[in-house]
Amino acid sequence: MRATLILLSIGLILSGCGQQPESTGKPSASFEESFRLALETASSGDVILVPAGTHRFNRSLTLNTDGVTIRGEGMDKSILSFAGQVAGAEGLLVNASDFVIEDIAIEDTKGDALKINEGKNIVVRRVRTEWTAGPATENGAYGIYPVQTENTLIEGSVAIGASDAGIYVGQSRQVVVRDSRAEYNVAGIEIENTIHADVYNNVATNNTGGILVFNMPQINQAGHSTRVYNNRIVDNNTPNFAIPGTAVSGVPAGSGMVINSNDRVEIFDNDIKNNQTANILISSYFSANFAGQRELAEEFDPYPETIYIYANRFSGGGEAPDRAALEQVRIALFGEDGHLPDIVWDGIQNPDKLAPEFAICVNNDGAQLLNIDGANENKNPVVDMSGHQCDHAKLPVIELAEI
Amino acid sequence: MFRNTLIALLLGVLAGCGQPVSFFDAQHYPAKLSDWGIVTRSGNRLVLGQDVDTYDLNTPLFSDYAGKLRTLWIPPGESAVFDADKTLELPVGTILSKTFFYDQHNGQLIRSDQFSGNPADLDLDRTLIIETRLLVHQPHGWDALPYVWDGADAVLKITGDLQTFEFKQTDSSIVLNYQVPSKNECAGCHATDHTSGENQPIGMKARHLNRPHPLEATNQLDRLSQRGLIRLPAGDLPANARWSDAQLHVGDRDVGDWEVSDRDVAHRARSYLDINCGHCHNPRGAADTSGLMLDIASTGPAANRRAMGVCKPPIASGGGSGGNLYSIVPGKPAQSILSYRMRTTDPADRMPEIGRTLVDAEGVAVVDAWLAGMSGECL
Repeated sequence: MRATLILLSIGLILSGCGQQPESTGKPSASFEESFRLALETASSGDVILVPAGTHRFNRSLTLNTDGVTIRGEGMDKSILSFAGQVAGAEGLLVNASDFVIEDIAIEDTKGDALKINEGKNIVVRRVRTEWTAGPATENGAYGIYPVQTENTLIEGSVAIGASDAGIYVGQSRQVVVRDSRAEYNVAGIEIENTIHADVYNNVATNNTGGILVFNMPQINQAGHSTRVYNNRIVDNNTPNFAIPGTAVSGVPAGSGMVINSNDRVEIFDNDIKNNQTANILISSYFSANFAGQRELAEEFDPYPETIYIYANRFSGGGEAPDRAALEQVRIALFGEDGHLPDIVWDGIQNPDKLAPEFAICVNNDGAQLLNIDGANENKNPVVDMSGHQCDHAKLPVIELAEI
Repeated sequence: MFRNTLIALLLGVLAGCGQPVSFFDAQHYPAKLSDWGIVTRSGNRLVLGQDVDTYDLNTPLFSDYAGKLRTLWIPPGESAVFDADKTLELPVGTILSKTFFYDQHNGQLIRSDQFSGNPADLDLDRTLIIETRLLVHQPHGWDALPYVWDGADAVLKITGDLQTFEFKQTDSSIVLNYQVPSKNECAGCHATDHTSGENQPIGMKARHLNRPHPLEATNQLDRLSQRGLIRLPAGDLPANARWSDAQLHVGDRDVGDWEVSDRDVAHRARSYLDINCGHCHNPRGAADTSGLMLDIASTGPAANRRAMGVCKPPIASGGGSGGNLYSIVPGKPAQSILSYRMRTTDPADRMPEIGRTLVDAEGVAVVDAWLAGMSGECL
């Protein structure tokens, strides 16, 4: 066994730096089998190399060993293709800590492309996940999907075509998502039930919703403390192609940012443009068009609280909201040729938490907030900044531990 | 004295003519299954090794209608510790095996899940054995080893395998993409505590084993006790539903014919979800991310109904919602994600994620009957 491993390692190293890459797209059976074996028999410290070429798999790959690095030769060169996959709910499933994956692409998986379930110290660097035929309901749900992780870095990555979220960080702690691009997903980047996340220097464009910060019920960890800054969140107007019943199926096309039921969210220094429903939507769980909105577990907090929006550059957007109710409000308040303000809020608050510390604070050169009076079926929508001209203490920078 | 004689007699029966079992440490796993001596092929028969006992489960995991032969070998002189809920504490050195096979008819595989559990009933001239999975209890924990049959022996294949067959259903045949799980995929189910990541046997729980032995009328737990391998507490022991009874009553999906009480229906459905889903959908399992708990402790009358899916919206189901809003809509299986996930064969959406490519018609019928009988509504 040991001898086999060493031979395999040598084989991989050789194929990584010497041999001709497969350029024809033909299945390179020997590499695929040796790659799978390398994942199955990995020891901590292993660096598993993926040479340039399209490597085809018809069933999932699984890694369960801590301390492993998977390294390709570039997100447009080393491609794990799962077109025609017949088994497994993911492309690559990782149940491990101290994991690094870099310079590689995962394409056309039946389900999620890269799922990392429970682990500490995770790096996803210059990884592309893509459904290559473009947006479609049949595409897998998530591109880059760490869940229940801690100390997680996603950088320089690209996520395209997910039928749920391109980059989806769930139930995690201490997370940085930066320098990445999310395009043609239902949700570009989604931070859900996560505590302490920094999302910056990303581009979210041509999604249904650009960047989402959500809390869902029935999960042990309620999320809070996310900073979204210095991103370009533009033209997220792709019609929603999520399957009904999922959380993101309720996201209107043309949503730049959506905050739902999450607390302590700081949004600053972003370019947020031309998102036709609204550049920023803020809602409670009640009006998120989710199922189960009337019966919630007592411990779940459905209200977005302590939201701080400042120093963003807004332009365009709000001229064609993807909801009849919002469209009526637009025409009624702003005229046929008018547009909704940059920030649209459902106005539903916890009656026990009306103190300024829980407010939505907007300190952003003239950006307006529209309260659509969601609790009363939009009877009295109003732009009234009086409760929103305030500031909150800024959240701390996320310092990731050395990985 | 009498007791000793009885044990000797039983051991004599067990020993049969099998070869002695060999135990290997993790650095020296043999490439061939026959080296273990647990299950070997002799002509058109499968032969169990010395002191290797067969066993069966009340409600088993559905595995695409494959027949399954399960065996247990505990090293001589060792014994197990009983637990009413958790996996029996089996000694280091224990080896469990499960051999998967299908009967063949005109070159097609046919349904074989009603296998008696007696290896003597297997005729390899008409039965195709595909794989044997071992769970080996090492000092560091349980190792999972997939062996794939090729002629007279099976070969260790850490990476698993994907084999394609024609499978005959009632009036048609379909392609069966049979998946032999890789070592890591074995952990996908057997790491029932996903945080620790350590493999555990799943079937080796009192409630699964509490039933007659496949070769004789003795209760399997009593048999372990009689062999001196376990000490049982006094009183009734938990038991999941006997799936063969449930199947008998389901007939051909006609749930209306059931002449059973609601309590029996619930017990059968909960037993089914327990063994098919509970290894991930438990409070420490890989699927705790979903907030949906389907192990038997989490689906009882006192359970948090939302946590077991009643009016619970999905978290990260993707297409797995099937367009439905809740895991369980009381009284409405067709609107319940739980049922959809059992009825779909799409690899991205079907449940369990590993080990099922066909629809388990009886499983769906039993779970749907349970959902249909639930009262309440989702507002």
